[in-house]
Amino acid sequence: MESQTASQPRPDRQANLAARLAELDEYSAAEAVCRARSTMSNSVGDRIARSMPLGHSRGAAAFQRIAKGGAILSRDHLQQSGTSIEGGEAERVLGTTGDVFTYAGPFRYPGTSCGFIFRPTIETTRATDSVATPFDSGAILHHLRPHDTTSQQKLFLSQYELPVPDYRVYMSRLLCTLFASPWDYIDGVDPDVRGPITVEGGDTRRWTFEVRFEKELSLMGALAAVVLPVALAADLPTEIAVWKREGVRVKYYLTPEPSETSWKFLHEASVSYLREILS
Amino acid sequence: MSADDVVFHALDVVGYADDLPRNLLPRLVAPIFRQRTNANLFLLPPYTLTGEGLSDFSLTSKSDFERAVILGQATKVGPFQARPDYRLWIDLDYSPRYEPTDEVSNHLRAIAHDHVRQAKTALRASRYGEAAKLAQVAIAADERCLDALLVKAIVHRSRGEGDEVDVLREIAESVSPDVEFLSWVDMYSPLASPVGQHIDSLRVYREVVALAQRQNDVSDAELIACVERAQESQISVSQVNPAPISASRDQAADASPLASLPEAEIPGFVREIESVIASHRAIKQTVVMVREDTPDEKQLVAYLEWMPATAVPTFVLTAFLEKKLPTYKIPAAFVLMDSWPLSASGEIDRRALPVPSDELLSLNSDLIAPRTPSEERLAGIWRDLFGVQQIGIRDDFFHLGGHSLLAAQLLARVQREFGVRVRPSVLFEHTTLEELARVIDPASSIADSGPNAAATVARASRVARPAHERSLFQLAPSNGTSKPFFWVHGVGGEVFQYAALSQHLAAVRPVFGFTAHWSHISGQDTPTLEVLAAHYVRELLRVHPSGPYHLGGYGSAALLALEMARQLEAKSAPVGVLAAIDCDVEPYLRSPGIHSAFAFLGNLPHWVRDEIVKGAWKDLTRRLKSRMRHLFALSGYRDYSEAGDDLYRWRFSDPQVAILKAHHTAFGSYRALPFGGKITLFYPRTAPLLGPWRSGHGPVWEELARDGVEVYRVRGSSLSMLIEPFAAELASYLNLAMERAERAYRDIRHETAPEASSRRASAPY
Repeated sequence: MESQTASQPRPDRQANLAARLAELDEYSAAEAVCRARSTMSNSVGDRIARSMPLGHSRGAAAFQRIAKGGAILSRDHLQQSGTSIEGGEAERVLGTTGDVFTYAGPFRYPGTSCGFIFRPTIETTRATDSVATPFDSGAILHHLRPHDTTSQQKLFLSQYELPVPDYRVYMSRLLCTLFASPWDYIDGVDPDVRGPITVEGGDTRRWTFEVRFEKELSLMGALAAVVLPVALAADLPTEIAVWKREGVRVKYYLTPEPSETSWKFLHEASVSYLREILS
Repeated sequence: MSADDVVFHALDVVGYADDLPRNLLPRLVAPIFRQRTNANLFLLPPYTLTGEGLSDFSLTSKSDFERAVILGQATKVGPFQARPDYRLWIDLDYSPRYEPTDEVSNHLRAIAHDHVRQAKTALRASRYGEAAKLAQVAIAADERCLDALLVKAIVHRSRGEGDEVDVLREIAESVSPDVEFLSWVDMYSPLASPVGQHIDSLRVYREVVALAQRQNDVSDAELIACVERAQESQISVSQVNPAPISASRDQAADASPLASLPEAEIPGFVREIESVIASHRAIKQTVVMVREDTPDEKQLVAYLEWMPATAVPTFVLTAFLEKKLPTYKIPAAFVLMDSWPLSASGEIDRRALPVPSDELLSLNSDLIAPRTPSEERLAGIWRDLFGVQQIGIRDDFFHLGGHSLLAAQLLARVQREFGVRVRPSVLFEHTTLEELARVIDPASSIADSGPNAAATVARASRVARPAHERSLFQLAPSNGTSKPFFWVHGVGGEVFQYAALSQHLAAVRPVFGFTAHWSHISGQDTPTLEVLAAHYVRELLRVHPSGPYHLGGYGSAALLALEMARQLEAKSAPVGVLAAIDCDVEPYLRSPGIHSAFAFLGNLPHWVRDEIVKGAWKDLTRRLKSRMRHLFALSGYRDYSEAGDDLYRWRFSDPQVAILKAHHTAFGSYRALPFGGKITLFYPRTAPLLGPWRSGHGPVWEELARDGVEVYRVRGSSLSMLIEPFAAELASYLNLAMERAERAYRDIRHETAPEASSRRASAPY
């Protein structure tokens, strides 16, 4: 099986970017709403796309392990070190088990309770071993042409793999033409036109940009903020003290009563943070 | 093993996992179950339990039991029996869910409380790693458990990890924005000192500090002896007689353990104790025995029969015995007897006296456990505030050591947790947990309440109505016929600090207090002190139309009393005693000058000596810096937003904070003007660091009292003069002053009746 991890030979991603921009232009020309938007200057969309941090959320135990270890490790890397983790079917099929996943946006992975928010500048230093897609790659298996074969799915994915950090140009165009407001991308409001990408169903991850990094993602010097529940924070005062010395913003929240999930709090905290820094 | 083999009623919870399972949120400390039919099989998290059965589980044999350490086995919390209606599961989002929510939440809080207690014990023994670990379990069980954060912070401070302490401060502030966490850390840190190792609660710590302040030559060893005796007897440290404290070393030297007491000496030994117990006015009959119901465990048991209608709480009796007997002669258990087993000769049959049990122990029989959800929740708050394990519904807030700051915390937490705003004055009228629970939630307690429930609920409804009318409340019931005394509030807005004094004054006269209202503050421009005084004077004259009026206040409250006296005087209403307790009036007359520097230098040696006595010399530099900062903040003493910061360290509710801020402004902008009568001043013998050096404020007050001042110096420090045992002395002087004032007032009315209307009404002397 051909692997699609960020470290291995990839199609010409710059060519992919040019093709996707052309595809978007073509789509916008055909859609009256998009055509009107594309003629307008949208500095908000540019700013959001240019400065959007990267988010990675996990459960409490994994977060604790990462905080103490100082890096997020890929599934392959974890297995090599003897740590077995559940799930990962989509990654195995698509050959992305060697990558660390982040979203260019708020936390979008349900069921998690803690999160890291990375500075977008890490993309510059990791440009050679990272790749972006304009959707959650795992969604392909479940929500993209379910009748397609694996090879067709992998081919589709490869066509949408974009260079880092240049993908932000495409991101800016998408935010400005598909969404009623670029802020909708952060708030989780679906675009009001379907767009040129034929991923269907699912949730907001269908149109959330994903950035994958090869092997690991170090926390040192890369973190912009972390969000975690009080009880876990109390167990990590040393790590948090180090982060704070580096200027990392730390947001604590009280784990809600059973009627609400931690995920809701975590997600809202990340949206609130992004709106604050991008305004 | 199939799911059918494992049903809920076959499982016990035997502990809690101390490592958080993957994807299990830290909100829940996952229970570890043990199969009842096979004690070697455990169920470890993660698992899925529902009322329908088990899934995603596997039982683990004890030999494989390595991944999780059982905590809580030795605690009072567990084990508890799992039940078919107890649901704990991990949902599709990996979020822990449990039902019934309240019950499990209460259980989690109990886990937190228990682990914090253990953490403090570990902290005192300098087992920092264990303390931090236990504290983490506590906060995992209850994220709002600030005490657990506190323990962790102290551990980090002890390791010199200041950044970590600051992180924990941030976390604490995210839980409770008003908390002054670092002040707490300062306050609790002595728990790790030699004396602190013997202190089991913040309340006891405060008492020890007060004791050290008033007994300058007390040593650490004497303090420890005092604390141990107080804790053994469950009484306030301040209730321990200072004389036996000083003599404690001598007593310890000749104290013989009960276990080694020769058989022949036992009769004389118990007779001495019996005679002391019998000398208490409430005791009708007593028998003391040395029992050995468990091999090699001798204990001293006292069997008691009260005089009719004179039963007293056992802690009162214990306090009584503490003053007369060495510690080893204080019975370990008290058993209340309704009737005595008699021998054929008609004497008490000692061998037939019952074995002490939980049901018979008077300490427990005094304690009636909370019966309703409201009482249970309220008891949880009380346990946190007082740092005690057991709270009964008949426990009295003030008997437990409650004071103004604790009361403020209590009412703030009641508002937060019950959504009910209770006036501070209500706490004076409903001092037991049972009564207060009825005030907070009248509906929940009617069903199982006693015959007086209806009346109590009716009274509660009356008292707990929205606070917009009364400011004046009776603080202590009295059959005395003398003219009442009126306490006025200070910046804090309430009068809890006068509780002990009021009890003494009530022997001869009714005692009332003026408390502040939220409604006086909210929605209005900040009132001036004159406006507040005018409001209270109107209410005073309406409720008590005839004088003379005795007024008083502690600290800043004396200014309000002064202003009220001036306004009464203006209305030709006679003022008897105007009492100002430990109030530095100078900042309200003029700006500080060089005398402040001299005062500081004069008091510095005394303050340093006190700090060393308290064992705080290691922290002396930092504390000196803190005091210096405070001094400079006070250099323009009018800036009450700075000067009042100390008051915000406690978790006040928003209305209370609004009152505090409004009062800071009102008191701070007040310009004191002369009063036509005499002012009675009370000062502690131990002067505060920043106060005038041992000379008192009399000369300054003289500028405000046209008939001069009368100065009393009473035992105690600024903090302790209002509480036992010093409150009695202050109250006696105050009563004396009032009696003289009333006598003089009667004389004047009698001798100069024709002229009385033209005399200055406020000059009764």
